Amino acid sequence: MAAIKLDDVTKRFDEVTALDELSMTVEEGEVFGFLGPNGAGKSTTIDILLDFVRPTSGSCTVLGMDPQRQPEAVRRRVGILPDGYHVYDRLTGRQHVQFAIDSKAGDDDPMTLLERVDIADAADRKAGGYSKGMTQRLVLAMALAGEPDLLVLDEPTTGLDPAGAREMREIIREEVDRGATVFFSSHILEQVEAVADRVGILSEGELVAVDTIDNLRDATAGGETLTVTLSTPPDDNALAAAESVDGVQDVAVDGATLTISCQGNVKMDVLDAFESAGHEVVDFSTEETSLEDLFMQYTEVSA
Amino acid sequence: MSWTAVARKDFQDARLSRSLWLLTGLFVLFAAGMAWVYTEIEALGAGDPELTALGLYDFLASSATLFVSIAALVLAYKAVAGERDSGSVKLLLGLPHSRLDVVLGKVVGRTATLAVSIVLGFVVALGVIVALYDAYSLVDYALFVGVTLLFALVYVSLMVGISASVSTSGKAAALAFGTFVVVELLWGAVATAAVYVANGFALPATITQYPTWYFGIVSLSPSAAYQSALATVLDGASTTGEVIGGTAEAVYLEPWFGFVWLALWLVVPLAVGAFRFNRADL
Repeated sequence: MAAIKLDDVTKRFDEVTALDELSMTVEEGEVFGFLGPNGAGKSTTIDILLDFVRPTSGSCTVLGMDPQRQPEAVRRRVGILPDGYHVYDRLTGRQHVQFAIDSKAGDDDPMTLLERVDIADAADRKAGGYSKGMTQRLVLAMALAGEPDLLVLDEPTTGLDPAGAREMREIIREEVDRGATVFFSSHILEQVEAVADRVGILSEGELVAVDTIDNLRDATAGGETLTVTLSTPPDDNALAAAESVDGVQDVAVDGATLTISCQGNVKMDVLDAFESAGHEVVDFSTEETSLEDLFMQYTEVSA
Repeated sequence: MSWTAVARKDFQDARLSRSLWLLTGLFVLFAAGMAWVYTEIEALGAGDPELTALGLYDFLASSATLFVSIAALVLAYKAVAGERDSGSVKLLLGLPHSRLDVVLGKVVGRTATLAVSIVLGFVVALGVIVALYDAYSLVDYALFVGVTLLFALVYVSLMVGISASVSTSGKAAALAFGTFVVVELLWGAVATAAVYVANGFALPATITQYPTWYFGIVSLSPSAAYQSALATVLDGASTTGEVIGGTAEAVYLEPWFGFVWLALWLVVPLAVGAFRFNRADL
């Protein structure tokens, strides 16, 4: 059974189409990264899964249930870290978590959950005084209450510093090891890359790609990015020579530094081309095409 | 039904509201002050002690009407709309509560909060009464407090219903305040205007010529219904409803009908609000 299944879901707000016949499936037990620029429709999709908004047309199921028909049954088994939420300023962290536990008729210890997200020392302070990162941790603790089968995290690393983001990834892995499915959205690509089994890329309300990160990388034209630093800025001959190397797709010049996107193992050919054109190579480095490049390719194509 | 969890959380939250404690302080002073002032007035007339205590309830009821309606407004107009504004509704509804649970939980939680203030005010007023009055009935006093708590439930329900029916705090504030002004301050004018229209855009010469239903309209406002209900349980207490409707004969002018009006105010606005909230995109 799929953890999440969307069939031709369309959502229009007045004249704006937020989602346009979106269909996708998230399998049980996987970490699914939902990627897209702000305004692509990620939060609207999540809102539909939790019955915060109702689709204009199409249908969806969460853990086999229709959220419109059984919203409470769905939310009993789902932990949610929403986007654009606000905590109750006058209640303490512990009261928030206790409320989540009571609501799910669970028997967790609120302190254990607060320790997992590393804000146990602030348990009895009012949440109104928490920093953005602490608030995010608090709401994550609420989401973890009752051992949910599915965690839906909307931009989970918002407000977290790098250490907090790493802890967030650790918690996601722990939850998956326990057997949960994790569906999370992000516009921060490194986060998705680091933890997701599969990603879906959403652009302007449409799903433009769904696959594993490796497959997406293979499927796109980009292979490597080569950065070369020369002792002097290159002349036109050198540039022409580099561009004519088989496999080189693009050469960008910034002073004496060149950024070359290429496919296949052409690094040595490119360096040779510069040397034979009379330039000295001071430094060079290569990196795989990042998800960001992929992401830009996908979202720009559809834009 | 998970409204109990919502109500408990809401009670924890709302009782810490500063504006509520300010209003409570004023109400304690007001209720105790009323009880004291009434002894001073009675001293001038030297009335029968039994009547003294009964007349006191009219005095206390008028201060309670004002306090309960304003406190319910302040306490409850943002109950649902405010959570939609800030986004905390996503935390609330991210948990397994139905939207009806949220609305009912809010009514119970905020009523409990307001009840604490009301009981506090009347306990202090009782102290004044015990100290200054020769004759008083604890049973009557308990009945009086009980009906006032029912009135608080009705008013909170009305305000939560308003809050649930709109999407922002601003709209809720406008609608709640507008409702308060119409049903508390302009209700007599509304009833008169209805007679004026029904009578062919002219008013009857004297109040005795007004149609019976005019008195029905006058007696259906929440505070008039509260006073009718008080008159039912505190046999002999004079009420505004009785005075103006005393001569007419209609079932809806019986003092006990105050409970029916209160029940309608309790249920109808809340049902409308819950219906609209249930259909809304958050």
